[in-house]
Amino acid sequence: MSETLLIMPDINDLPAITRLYRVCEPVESLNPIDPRWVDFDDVRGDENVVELYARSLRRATPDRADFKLFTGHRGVGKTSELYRLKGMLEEKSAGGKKGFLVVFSDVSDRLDVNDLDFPDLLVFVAAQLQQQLGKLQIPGFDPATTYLRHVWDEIRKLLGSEVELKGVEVEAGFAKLAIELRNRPNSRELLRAAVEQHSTSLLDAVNDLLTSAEASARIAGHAGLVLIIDGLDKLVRRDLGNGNNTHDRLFIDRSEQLASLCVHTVYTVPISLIYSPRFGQVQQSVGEHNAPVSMIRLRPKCEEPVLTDSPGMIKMREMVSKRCAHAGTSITDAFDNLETLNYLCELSGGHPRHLMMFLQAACNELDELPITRHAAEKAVRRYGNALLREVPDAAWDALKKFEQPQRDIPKDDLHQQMLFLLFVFEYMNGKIWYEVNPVLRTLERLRC
Amino acid sequence: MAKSGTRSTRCFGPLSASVAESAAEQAGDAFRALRRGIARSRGFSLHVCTCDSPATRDQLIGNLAASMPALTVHRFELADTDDDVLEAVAHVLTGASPGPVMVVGIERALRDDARLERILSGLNLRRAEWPMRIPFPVVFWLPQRLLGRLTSGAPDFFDWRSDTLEFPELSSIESRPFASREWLFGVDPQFSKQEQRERARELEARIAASRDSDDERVCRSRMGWWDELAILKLVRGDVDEALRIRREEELPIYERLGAVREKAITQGKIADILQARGELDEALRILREQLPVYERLGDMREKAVIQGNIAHVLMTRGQLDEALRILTDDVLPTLERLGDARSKAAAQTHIAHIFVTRGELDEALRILTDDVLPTFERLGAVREKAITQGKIADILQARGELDEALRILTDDALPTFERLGEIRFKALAQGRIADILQARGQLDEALRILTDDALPTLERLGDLREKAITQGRIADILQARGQLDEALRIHREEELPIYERLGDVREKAAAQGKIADIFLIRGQLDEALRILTDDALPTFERLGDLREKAITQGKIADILQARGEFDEALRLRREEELPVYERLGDVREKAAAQGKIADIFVIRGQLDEALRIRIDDVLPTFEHLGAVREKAITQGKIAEIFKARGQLDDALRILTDDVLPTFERLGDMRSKAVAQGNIAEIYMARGQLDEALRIRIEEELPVYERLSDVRHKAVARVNIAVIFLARGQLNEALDILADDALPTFEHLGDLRSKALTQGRIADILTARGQHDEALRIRTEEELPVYECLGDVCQKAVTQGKIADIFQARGQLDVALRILTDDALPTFERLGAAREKAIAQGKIADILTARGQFDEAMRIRTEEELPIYERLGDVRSQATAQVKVADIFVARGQFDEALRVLRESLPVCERAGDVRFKAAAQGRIAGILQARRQFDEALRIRTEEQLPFRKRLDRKTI
Repeated sequence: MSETLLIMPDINDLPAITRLYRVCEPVESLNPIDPRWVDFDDVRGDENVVELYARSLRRATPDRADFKLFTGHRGVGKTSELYRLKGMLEEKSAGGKKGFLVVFSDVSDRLDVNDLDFPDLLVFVAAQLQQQLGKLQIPGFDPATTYLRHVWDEIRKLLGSEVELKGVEVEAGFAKLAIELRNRPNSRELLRAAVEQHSTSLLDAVNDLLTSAEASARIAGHAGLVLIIDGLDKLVRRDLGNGNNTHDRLFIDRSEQLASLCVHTVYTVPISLIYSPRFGQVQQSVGEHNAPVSMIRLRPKCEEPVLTDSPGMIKMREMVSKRCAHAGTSITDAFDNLETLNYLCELSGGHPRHLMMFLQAACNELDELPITRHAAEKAVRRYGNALLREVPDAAWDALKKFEQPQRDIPKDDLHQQMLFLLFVFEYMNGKIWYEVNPVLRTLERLRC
Repeated sequence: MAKSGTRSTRCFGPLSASVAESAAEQAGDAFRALRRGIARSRGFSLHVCTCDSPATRDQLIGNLAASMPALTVHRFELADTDDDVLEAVAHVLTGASPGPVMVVGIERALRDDARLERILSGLNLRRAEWPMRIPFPVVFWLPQRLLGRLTSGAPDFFDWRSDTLEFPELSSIESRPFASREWLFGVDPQFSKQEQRERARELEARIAASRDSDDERVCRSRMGWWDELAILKLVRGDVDEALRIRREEELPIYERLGAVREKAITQGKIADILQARGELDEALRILREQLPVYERLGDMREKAVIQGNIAHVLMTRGQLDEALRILTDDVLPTLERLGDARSKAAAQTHIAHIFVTRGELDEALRILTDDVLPTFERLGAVREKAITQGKIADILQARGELDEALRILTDDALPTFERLGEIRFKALAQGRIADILQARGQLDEALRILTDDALPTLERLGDLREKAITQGRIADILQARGQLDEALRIHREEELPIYERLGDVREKAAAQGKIADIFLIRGQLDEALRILTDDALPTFERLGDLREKAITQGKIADILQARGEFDEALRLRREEELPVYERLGDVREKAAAQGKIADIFVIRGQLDEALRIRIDDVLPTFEHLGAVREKAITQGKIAEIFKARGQLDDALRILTDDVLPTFERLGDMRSKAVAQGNIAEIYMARGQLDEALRIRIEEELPVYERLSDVRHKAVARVNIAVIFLARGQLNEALDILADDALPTFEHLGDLRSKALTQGRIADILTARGQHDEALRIRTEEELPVYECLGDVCQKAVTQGKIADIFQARGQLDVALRILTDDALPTFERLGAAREKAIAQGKIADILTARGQFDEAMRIRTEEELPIYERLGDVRSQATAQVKVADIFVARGQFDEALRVLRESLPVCERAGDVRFKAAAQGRIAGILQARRQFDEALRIRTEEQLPFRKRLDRKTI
C-alpha cells in the first residue's frame, strides 16, 4: 500500500455515516503522521518490534548486511508499523547527522501474490531500486548500470520473440518484466525460467547497484541504505504438491538468496512461516530471532478476562474515537451507546482491521448514524457466517481447544493454516498465548 | 525423520527413490544453511550435522572451506584418547588461526559405552565453558543413527545447538556445485569488449565520486571498485595501469588501514601480474615475502595457496623438481588437512602439468583421470571437470591419440562450456580442437574453427592474450600450409604487438622464436639466427627461464645444423641444451634433443652412432613416456638410418610394419603421408620406380591436397619429378619442376625450396647436355640463394654440381679447382664426412679422366672408401668399389679389377638395390669377355644380369 494514499474526506458535503465509512477503510495502512494513527505499543507485545529493529539496524556493522523478518497477523498493522520504522530510520541522529536512505516497496502493488516466486521478487526489487533510487537523484549515482544492462540483454535474448520486450531498454526493462510477470500468468513459467537462468547474475547486478547507491548515500551524509519490502506476508499459501507450498518455496528454499542482498533489508513474511518446522533454516539465513508484530491484547494477561477498562480495550476505543474525529463526528454521535462499541471491540479480538471491517459492515446496515447494537451484531454475524464456510471441517476439532487461551500451538500444517487464515490469534504479554478468533465463539459449530 | 529437539531442526530423508534425485539439491540447501549459520555466528555456536558417509562428509567440509575463503575451517578428528572434547578442541585451536571447527570421528567413541559416558558427561558439565574457550562455531558431524544417543546423553549441551542439519549421502552423479564463492567483485567473464569499456567508465566515475570520502564503508566499496577496475585493465591489456592501481591505489590504503590480510592478497595479485609479464624473479620475491605474513595470521590455507603460486612460478622458470617438491611436500598435505578437496585437485592439476612438461605423460594422465576428475565430479564442479577433460585431451594429443583427444573435447568439454554459457572457455577449447585437427593435417577445418569461431569470440571479449595466442595458432597453420609470408605477417603485425602491449616479454620471445622458425624454413638462416641470439635468447636468460633458453638454443643448433656447422650445433646440443633438460628432469625434451644429435650424426655420416642413440636412448624414453607418436617418428628415423646404410629391406619393414600402422591408428594423416614418402624413397633406392611413383601419386600427394598443404604438395611433386628423372622422362620431370613446383615456392617466399628445385632443373639440363643453361642456373640462381641464406653446406654441394658441369664440358682443371679449393675444405670444416667423400669421389673421377690413376686410386682407397665403410653406407661403398675396379681395368690390371668387383658383390647385395649388383656383374662379364672367357661371361649375363633387368623398370636401364 502506497503511503501517499491518505484519504482526506470533504466533511462538508457528505453525510456523517459516509464520512465515517470512508475513514474506516480496512485495507488502508496508516502512516504515523496520519491523525488517525494510534500508538498501540503498550498493548501489543512486551517489546516494540519497530523500535527494536530501528535500533538494531542503526547499530549494525556496515560491513555486513542485516536482515529482518517482519511478521504478524494480517491486518494487525504491520504496514503502519513499517511506515513508522521507515520514519525512525530516516530521522536525523542526535548529532544532527542524516538518517538512513530508505527504499520502501510493496510487492502486492506490482506482483501477483497468488503466485509469487523468487525470480518475480528479484525482478521487482531490481525495478523498484532503479525507479526509486533514480528518482532520488543522488549525486554520482546512475541506476542503469553495466551489470543490469548486461543481465537485461541476456534475459531479453533468452526470451526472444516469446514476450514483447523489443525496444525496451534496461532503464524500464525490469519494471516492464515485473508487469509481464503479474499480468500474464500463462507466460509466467517461461519468464521465470529466463530470469532464473540469470538469477545469480541479476542478484550480483542488484548488489552492485546497491553498493553504488549506498556509497552515494553515505557520501551525501546518510547513515546508509535500508530496503523495506512489504507485502510478502500476503503471499497466498498454496500447496504445490511434493509436500511443498508457495510459502516454503519463496521463504525457505530461497532464504539464502533473500539474505544475499548487500544492504540492510526488512522483509514482511506471513505469520505462519515462523511456525513452520523449517523456519530454522530461514533463521540460519537471516540470522536473528524475529519477533512478530503482536495482536492488540484485550485480556491484560492470558488468564485474565476481557474487561471494558483493560488497556487493550481502551486503545481500540481510541482508534475508533480518532476515526470518528477525523470524520467530523464523535463516539457518542456515532454509536447508540458505548456497549455497542465495546461489543465490536471485543469481537475484533484486538485485530484493528477486523474492527474497521465491522464498522463498515455496520454502517452498511444503516442510513444514518448512530450504529446500533442490532447493526453491529449483524455485521459480526456476516463475518461469522463467512468463517463458517471458510474453516475446513478438519479444523473445527482443533479449534475447540483454543476457545480457552492456550500457551502452545502444534507446529503442523493445519495449525499453521489456522494462524495464517486468522482462525487463531497469537497474543503476547511476556508470554505467548493463542486463542480463537472471538467471532468463532459466536458460532454453534465450535461447540458441537 | 530425526528427533527435532527443542531447536529448529532441518531434516532430509530417509529418501525414497522418487526423491533421491534431489538428494544433492537437499544437501545443497542444508549446506547453505550451515554456511550461513557459520558466517552469521558472532562467537560460539553449535551445529550438529548428520551424514552417514564419511566421504560425503569430508567432501562437504572441503566445500565449506572452499566456499568461505575468508575463514580458516579446522577439521578435528577425535582421537581414541580424547575424552574431554572441549580440551581437545581448545588444544587444536591453540596458536592456530581463528575459525570454525568441524568435529569428526565421535562415532568411534560411541562403540565404548564407558568412554561415551565420559565424553557426554564432560560435554554436559563443561557446557558453560564452551563459549569462552571456543569463541567460534563448532560443528559436530556424526552418523544419523547416533544423533539420538548424543542428544539424549548430553541434553544440556546439545540443547544449545542452533541447528541440526541432515546430509544425505551423495553419489558423484547427484552432485552439483553447492556453494559459489560469496559475491566478490570481478569482471564478468561474459562481458563483451563494449560492456567492459562501459563498466570501466562506470567504475571510474564511481571512484571519482567517492574519492574524497573517508567513510569506512565507502572506502571498502571503493577498494572493491579499484580491484575490479584493475582486473578489467588487465583483461583489456593495460597491464601497466593494472599494476599501478594495485601498487598505488590499493596497497597504500590497506597499509593505512592496517589490513594485513588484504595487503598480502593484493601483493599476491601484483605477483600474478609480474609473473604474467615474465618478471619471474620479482614475482617470486613478492610471493615469498607473503609466506610469513600468512603464517603470522595463522592462515594455513592462504599460505598453501601462495606456496602453490610459488611452485607455479618455478614451473614457468623450468625448475620442475623444486616446484614438484613444494606441491607434494607442502601444499598437498596442508590442503588435505584442511579438507579442501577443490584446492587439492587444483594443486594436483599443477603436479600433472609438471609431469606433462617432463614428458611423463602416463603419470600425468593417471593423476588427472584418477584423482582430479573424480574430485571435480564429486564436487559437482562441472566447469572444472570440463577444463580437466581439456587437459586430458592435451595429454592424449601429446601421446598422439588424436582421435580420442578430439572426442573428449568435442563430446565432453565443448558441450559443457556451451551449456554453462562459458563462451571464453568454449573459444579456448575450440583452439585446442583446431590444434588437433592441425596435427591430423585437417588444416582447412582447423583454420575455419580458429578464424570463424574462436577468434571473433575472443575479440568480442577483448581477451587480448588469448586472441594473440589464437592468432599465433592461425599463423602456425598457414606456416604448415606453406603460406609463410602471411604467417610471418600475422606473427609480426598481430601477435607481437599484443604481447608488447601486455608487457609479456616471455610470450613475445616465444613468438620471436616462431618467426625465426619461418625464416629457417624459408632458408633465411642468418635472419633466423639473429632473432634467436639477439632477441629471444637474452629474454629467456633475463627471465631465468632455463627451459625456454634451452629450447631456443636447440633452435639455434637447428640453424647451425642447416648451415652445415655441425660441430657447433653438436656442441650447443650437448653442452647447453642437454644438461638443462637433465637438470630439469625433463626426459622428453632430453630425448628430443638426443634425437637431434642423432640427426647431426646421420648428416655427418656417423650412422652407427646415430643408430645407437636412437635405439638405446631415444626410443626407450618415448616408450616409457607412452609417447606413441614420438616413438613412431623415432622408428621412422631409425628406418632412415637403415636406408642410408643401404639396409633397404630393414628400413622398409620398420616403416610398413611399425610406423605406418601407428600413424594410421592415431589418425595422424600428415605423419602417415611423410612415412609413405619415406617408403617411396626406399622403393626408388631399390630401383622399383613404378611402385615409388605410385605411392607418391596415390598415397602421399592426395593427403597434402586434402590438407591444403601447398608447400608439402609442391615438395611431393619435386619428388615425383625426381622419379621421372630417374626413369629418364626428362621432359615430364622438367615440366613439373618448372611449371608447378617453382612458382609455388616462389609464391610462398620459400627461397630454399626454390633454390633446391632450380638445382633439380639444372640436374635435368645437365642430363640433357644443356650445360650452359645448367651452369647459369647454378651460378646465377641457386648459389646466390645459399650464400644469402648463409647455408655454406648447400653452397658447397652446389659448387660440387658446378664442378660436375665443368667436368662434363671437359674443363677438368676448373672442375678440379672448384672441388679442391672450395667444396672439399668446406665439408672438412663442417665435419660433413659423407659430403666430403662424395667430393673426393668426384676429384678421383676427374683424376681418372685425366689419366692420373695412381692419385685417383689413392683417394678412392684411402679417403673415400674408408669413410663409406665407417658410415656403413653400403651403396656408396659398392659404387666406389666398382670405380676402383674401373681404374684397375684402365690400368690393365684385370685380375685385380675382377677381385675388387667380386668383393663388391656381397656389398651390392646388402645395399638391396638390384642395379648395383647388375652393374658389377656387367663389368665382370665385360672383363671376362675381353679375356675371351665367353662361356662364363654368357652365363653371368643370362643367369645373373638378365633377371635383374627384367625386374627393373626398362627405362632405368
